[in-house]
Amino acid sequence: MILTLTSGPEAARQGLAAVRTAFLARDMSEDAISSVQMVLAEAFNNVVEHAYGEVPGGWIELHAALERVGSGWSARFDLYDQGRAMPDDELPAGLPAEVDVATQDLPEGGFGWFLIRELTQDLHYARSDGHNHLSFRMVLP
Amino acid sequence: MNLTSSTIGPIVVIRMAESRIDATVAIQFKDEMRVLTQASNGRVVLDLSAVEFIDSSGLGAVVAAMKQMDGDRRLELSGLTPTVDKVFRLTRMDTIFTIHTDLDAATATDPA
Repeated sequence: MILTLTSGPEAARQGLAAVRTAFLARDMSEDAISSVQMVLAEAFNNVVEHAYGEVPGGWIELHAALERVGSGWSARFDLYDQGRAMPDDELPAGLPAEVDVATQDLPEGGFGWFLIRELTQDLHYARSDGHNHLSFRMVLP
Repeated sequence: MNLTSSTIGPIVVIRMAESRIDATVAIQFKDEMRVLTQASNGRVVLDLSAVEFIDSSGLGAVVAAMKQMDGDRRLELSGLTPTVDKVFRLTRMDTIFTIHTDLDAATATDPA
């Protein structure tokens, strides 16, 4: 599938709803769809908040290809936008959050890239021609 | 945003009636939780049984809600649905909250 979105406060919800509908139509399980939603929510939010800096109207395009593997799926995603480049042109490390700390020192952010890295394989970022291109695969039940 | 508070005995139960805690509502959620949790200096249980999805912003807002509570009070969570449970477990944030299966379990026990 190819999904085109316009960046803004509703973009992530719209994108997730469209992907959910498309994947349900392919008989993907709820468990698999929830993993896809978790990753895409972070990826879309990053584009809306950081690539486009919360400025609405920017172009976002998601390509998704599904392949049956046994009783599960192999999914490939390519996400494109024309916003600002990733800082230092590289992906954030997405290290696990510190949980063994005092309540007041608990992190309130930084979970997004950790979730993306945890649930995806072959995560790549490239920039060319004023476009950001994030790609990754997911092995799904 | 549909966040309502009630009491079961001495326990304040806050029910999140929206199906998503995501970037769209995270800040509002955190702000409203600050007001609602201040109404009690005892146990507070956040009923998440209607929440089907939470992203990293939502997770951060729930953590922030606990940090906003006075002293060393723990925010208790109840009724985590599968996707929400998955997010808490993957990030190990399930270890910093007291998590109950449902409100019956939450109100039957008195955590040590």
